[in-house]
Amino acid sequence: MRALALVTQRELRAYAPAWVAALVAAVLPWLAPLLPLPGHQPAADVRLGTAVAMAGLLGLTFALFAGAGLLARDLGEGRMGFFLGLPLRAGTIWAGRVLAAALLVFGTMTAIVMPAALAAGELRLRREAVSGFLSLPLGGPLFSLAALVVLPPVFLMLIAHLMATALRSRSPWLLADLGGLTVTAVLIARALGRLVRACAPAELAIGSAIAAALALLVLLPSGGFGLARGGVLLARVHRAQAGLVAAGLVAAALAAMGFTKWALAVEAGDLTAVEQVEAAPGGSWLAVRGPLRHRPSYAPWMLVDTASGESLPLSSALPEGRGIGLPAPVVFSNDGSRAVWLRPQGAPLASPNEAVLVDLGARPRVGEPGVEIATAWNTAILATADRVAIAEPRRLAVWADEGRRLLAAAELPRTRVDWQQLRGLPGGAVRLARLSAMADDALQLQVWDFDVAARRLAARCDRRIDSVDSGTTAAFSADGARVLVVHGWGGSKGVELVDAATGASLATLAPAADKARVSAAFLPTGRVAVASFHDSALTLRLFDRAGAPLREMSLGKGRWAWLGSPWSTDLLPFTASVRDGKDWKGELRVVDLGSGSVRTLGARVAPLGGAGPWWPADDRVVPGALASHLFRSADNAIVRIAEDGRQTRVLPRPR
Amino acid sequence: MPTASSNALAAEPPPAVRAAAPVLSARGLVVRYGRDVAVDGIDLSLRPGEVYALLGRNGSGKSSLVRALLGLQPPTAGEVEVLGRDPRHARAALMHEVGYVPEEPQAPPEMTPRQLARFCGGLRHRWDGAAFEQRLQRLGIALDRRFRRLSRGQKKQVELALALAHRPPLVVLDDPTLGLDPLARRGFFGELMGELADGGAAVLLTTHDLDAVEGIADRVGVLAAGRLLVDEPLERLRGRFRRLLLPPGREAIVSDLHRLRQQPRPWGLEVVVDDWNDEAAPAAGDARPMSLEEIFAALHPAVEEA
Repeated sequence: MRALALVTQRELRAYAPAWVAALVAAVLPWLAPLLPLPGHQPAADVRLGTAVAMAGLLGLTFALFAGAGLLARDLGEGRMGFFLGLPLRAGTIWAGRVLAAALLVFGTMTAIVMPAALAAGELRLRREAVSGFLSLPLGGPLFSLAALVVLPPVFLMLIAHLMATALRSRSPWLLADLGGLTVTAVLIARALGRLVRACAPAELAIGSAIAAALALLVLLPSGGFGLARGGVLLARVHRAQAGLVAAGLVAAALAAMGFTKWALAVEAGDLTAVEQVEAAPGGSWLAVRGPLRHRPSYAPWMLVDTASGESLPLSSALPEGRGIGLPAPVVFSNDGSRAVWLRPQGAPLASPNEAVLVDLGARPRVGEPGVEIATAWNTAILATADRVAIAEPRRLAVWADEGRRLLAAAELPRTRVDWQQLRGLPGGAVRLARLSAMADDALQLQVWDFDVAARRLAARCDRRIDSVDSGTTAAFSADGARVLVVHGWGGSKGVELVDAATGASLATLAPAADKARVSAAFLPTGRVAVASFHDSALTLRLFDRAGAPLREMSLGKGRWAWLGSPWSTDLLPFTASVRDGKDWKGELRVVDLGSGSVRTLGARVAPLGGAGPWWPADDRVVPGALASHLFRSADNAIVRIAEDGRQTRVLPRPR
Repeated sequence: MPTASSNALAAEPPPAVRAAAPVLSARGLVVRYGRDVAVDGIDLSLRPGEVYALLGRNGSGKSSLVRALLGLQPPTAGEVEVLGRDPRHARAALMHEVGYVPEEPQAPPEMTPRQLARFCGGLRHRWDGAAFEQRLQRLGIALDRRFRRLSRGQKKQVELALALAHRPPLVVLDDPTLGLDPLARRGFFGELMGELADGGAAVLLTTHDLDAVEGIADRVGVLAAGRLLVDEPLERLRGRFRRLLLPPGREAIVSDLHRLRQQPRPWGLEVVVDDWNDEAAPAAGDARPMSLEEIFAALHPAVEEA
């Protein structure tokens, strides 16, 4: 320790000119407020800002020069023999020099920033501040701030040392050094870049910390190792430390790549809860998203086959307009054999995105390339066996061959899209229904038919239905023939059935009523169900295809009903919101639409999809399909409920 | 003035010295730089109190040998033991017992002799700071002048003072008078010999200053192209080399001797022999002793011819 202290002290003394420069620089922030600056910034802020900038600039400059002079200058000028001729270990010489350089860099930064920070009131050196400081958790902001301030100068210093040694040695291996350094940097950046694109900030921090720690682990002792192996010979020192650093950086790169691979290699079995879920109308596939075991932030959407247990992680990077809590970036075909994934091409939550076809056959695979789409916000997608139709706000296009061949495209009028849906029509045509916010705050229902063969877009309907802020929502029947419009919040302005081909109103299914909580859904065989609430009781009214009333039945007590997808032509499960002491809870019931009988299954679950007071439902789910039997439990699990009420946990998988 | 060590005139070291374990030994030492061989399988040993002068032309491998012996650079092959330790693994500990003066002054230029003494003294187990200061004062070297501002001779003296201030049992001087004027050279060796007479340390000295060596060395090694051509006591070396001046027609009397060199002269033949024996000397001819410089030159034909 005495030798280390002596070497450090000697090196600090050798930095005397730098200390003088630091003292001069520490004075400059106090002069900054005297300069004529635009705006009227408080003097303390100007001083602190200048001090931080100067500290950063000078700190990095000193790190660069001190690093370059750690060993290379003495070795290059043949002066290292003096130190090695003394009873000093190579490691002590190196450690003392690194320590002195670090003290110079951080001492300079502190000397410049501290007075300005104290004057600005950013630091309060009180007893409670100190105890608070000490009680900060290691992973808290102090750790991040320290890493941000300490690591860049340290890395710069050590890399400057490596470069200076390599340059002064004039070794032909210099190119290999630079090449190796570049390759490992690129490998690490690429590995960590995958975590950035995967929207996994905590894993990115861990991966960066692992790579940085391993890199530091070899960079910090590299000079001492080189000096011990090479002695006074610069070329030998360079060779020894280059070998060590190369091995260490390769290890760091492999660790970063390995960690990234591990972090991103997730499957459905890693789910600890399900926060978002979208079930395919047919088949056995789900798109789910939720927290994962051992992954603090990485939570990608993943496709899960509930039949085989197979899973296909997509990405937790979400396309713009499909952020957390919003609809899944996955749209299934009606039969569940294909899906279209809206994948961000660049930074998460930013344009452009691409629609990628995912084949959910025996061997699921993500098709390449995707179809670029300008915005994923309210983009409607229709996937059929051989085509994909994509409706963006300004463009409707139909693609074949997994998105490699454009069949037809048409420009759509410029509106602000509130909601839109696509349906396939007989003969290959496509129908688009859209709620648009117009310039005069009107909410417009628009319907177009797109003849793909003729490449002709024909307007079918364009009528004002409400105002933009009315809370009106709509559902499009699976056959594309009708639109169910729930006017106002919760149907407070009534529920209307509209002919999609003409825009004509077929019937009013529920009248306007204050504080209404109406749930409306298309049902198989063309019927429409409307559940409403009155006097603490729920009532279900059934209508035929044209909106004529068929029958009315009681659903029992409750303040609103969440209609699920039918288990058969006449069995309709729903969750009733019922009082539970002072609270409300969901209670699963099933109503026989033929007899009107209601059976309480009791489970505290809610349907996946379906219709609630604020969102009507279409009839894409095939009666009895898996999607109709899947429910979300109160503990964020997906359960399958049989007609007799028996529950089976699907996700997260029981361990 | 140079002061000869007590055993400088003896053909062999005293029995006590011969029996003592060597303070420094090397076996099969090789130093290579890529394909260039600087030191080629050298065996060497240095006994306590002995002054060993290693002679050689520029580039003969002297400095590489010294650095490898002290663990300042890794040897390519071979074994080295200094004061019972392997300098490759115990250099730092070994340096408590070794005083080293490198070929070029290497002390940090911004430090003064006083600061250097404080720094080196703080690192060593023993340190005679007063002796250090007295020596520099005696030589008129300012203690508070930065090293970079001292003359080359003064720098050498400062480094010698630093190397001797802890009274090491082994002193290694790598061409310490290189670049010094004759006066400075004499001063340097004068200091050295005074110190050696006091302490009895073993000295390994590489130098081109053959005159100075004649006064102080016990043993001499001559290094050429990385190989030791000569490694023996100075007096024995002197004794076995003779320059014979033979009149015409008397060449036959040296036919049994090993002729290192032979050159016809207007007056006859000049022959250098390296196995001279006074008792079995040829009857005729003029046999003259050779100086170390002449022996060195004879061992390096190209030098003499030049």
